[in-house]
Amino acid sequence: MSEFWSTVQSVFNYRFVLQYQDQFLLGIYNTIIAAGLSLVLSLTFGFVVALMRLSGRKPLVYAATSYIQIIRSTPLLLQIYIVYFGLPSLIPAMGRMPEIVLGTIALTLHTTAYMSEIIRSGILSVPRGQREGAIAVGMTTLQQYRYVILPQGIVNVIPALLGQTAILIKDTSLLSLITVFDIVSAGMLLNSDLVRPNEGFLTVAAIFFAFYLVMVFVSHLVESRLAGRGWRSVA
Amino acid sequence: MLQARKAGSQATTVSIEIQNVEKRYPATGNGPGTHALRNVSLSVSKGEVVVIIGPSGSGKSTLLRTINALETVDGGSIMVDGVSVTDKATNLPAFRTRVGMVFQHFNLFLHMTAFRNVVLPPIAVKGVSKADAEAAANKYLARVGMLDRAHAYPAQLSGGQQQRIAIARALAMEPQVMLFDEATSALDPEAVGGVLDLMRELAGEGMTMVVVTHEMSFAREVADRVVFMDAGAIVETSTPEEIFQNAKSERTQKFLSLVGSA
Ligand SMILES: Nc1ncnc2c1ncn2[C@@H]1O[C@H](COP(=O)(O)OP(=O)(O)O)[C@@H](O)[C@H]1O
Ligand SMILES: [Mg+2]
Repeated sequence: MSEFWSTVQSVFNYRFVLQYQDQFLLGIYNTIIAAGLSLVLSLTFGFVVALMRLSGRKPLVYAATSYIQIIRSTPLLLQIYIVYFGLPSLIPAMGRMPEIVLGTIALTLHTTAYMSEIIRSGILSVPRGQREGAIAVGMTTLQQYRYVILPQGIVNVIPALLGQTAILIKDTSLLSLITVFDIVSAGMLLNSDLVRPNEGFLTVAAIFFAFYLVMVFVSHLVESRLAGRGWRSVA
Repeated sequence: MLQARKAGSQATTVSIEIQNVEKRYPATGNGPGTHALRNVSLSVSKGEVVVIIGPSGSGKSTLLRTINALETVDGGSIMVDGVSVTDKATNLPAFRTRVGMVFQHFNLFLHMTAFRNVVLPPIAVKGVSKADAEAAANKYLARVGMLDRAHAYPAQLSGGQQQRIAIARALAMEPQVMLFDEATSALDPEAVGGVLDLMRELAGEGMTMVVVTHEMSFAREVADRVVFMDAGAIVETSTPEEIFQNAKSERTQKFLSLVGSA
């Protein structure tokens, strides 16, 4: 038995991980801040961009579509660099911002484009009759969205929203390239100090996987909160 | 056609006043436009039940939907209980609380239980307290015989049950007018009678109703007046006896013989 454990420990010794616990926690903290803020902001702005595209007003539709296409056609890393180097040269005050703020802005700009397309398809997935039912009882446009269109539309696209959120969380690792200390940075540091790639990188992988499990759980909560369990069952 | 009524009716007894309404659906990429309503005028008194019949595509739904401004009009005017529906300044959401609408496909909110469907609109739209809205929901669900299914979702209910709940939802707003657009057309034959009975009861209680239906026996028994529409125009308006026994227009006669009620 002890031989087994020593074999395991030669492959993966959790003590090395504990030794770098503070660095991993800092990485987790930064990832949560960057991904969490970007998630909330990109959902909010994504909703606005989706409404612009659905508005039928040419200037709004054109602005929204152009934005989405520009974001989709360029690499995220480039967008991060443009925000990191470009914004401060445009607005000098931005130069004093911590890297993580600039990184969060870049992630938000990027993710908003994708979220807006998901939200738009969610809104379009709600049958026309649902909106008419809401109009007929006297709901304002705002109430139609709040009580009927968004709950149903969002539940319909939860798998896509979950996927995009997982991508967002993983994309925070690119922020290490603008010196944000993220989870991957912690793994890198461990490995370059101790030359223990398993402890360094498998830990990073496990943390990302744990994030994903949490998001799956949250998406179930959101789903049951927006629409009760029976609504898709057959009579 | 409607002058007889109009001449005798005081302003206060008129509920719905539709005057010279025009409606065109614009042409789209895959079809030409439709002239859906052609110079349509119709006046409905308070407490009156008007049944609209006519072939498919004749503009019945469009006319009904202009009454609560689910469709905009291109000409003419519509007043409901003194409110101009066609005036751009009118607050349409507030106005619509006074007009209940029952759809062919129910349009219950699919992500809510039957109970929530009935409770939510008064709370959200009219600012009714939760307790009052719940009491009203219980009352109207009992009235349509659906109290025992109050906590089911629409997907767990039959068409007839859903339509009863849709009627309860509309009634819970305490409307002045009820509009029914083929409320029984999507139901199994055995569910039709129950929903028609409910509509008959409402009519008996003096509700102002405009009903689009293919149920000729309902039109015959319940309608104060029957309107026959064809190709976007009102062809003939009369009492049920008149229309079913000696319709003036050949088109009306032909339609009635086709649906087997002449
Ligand atoms: N949303 C719409 N867009 C374009 N054309 C429509 C629309 N709704 C109805 N129409 C057309 O208007 C005409 C009247 O339709 P409708 O009022 O639904 O008739 P009915 O209810 O008598 O069957 C039909 O020719 C129909 O194809
Ligand atoms: Mg119709």
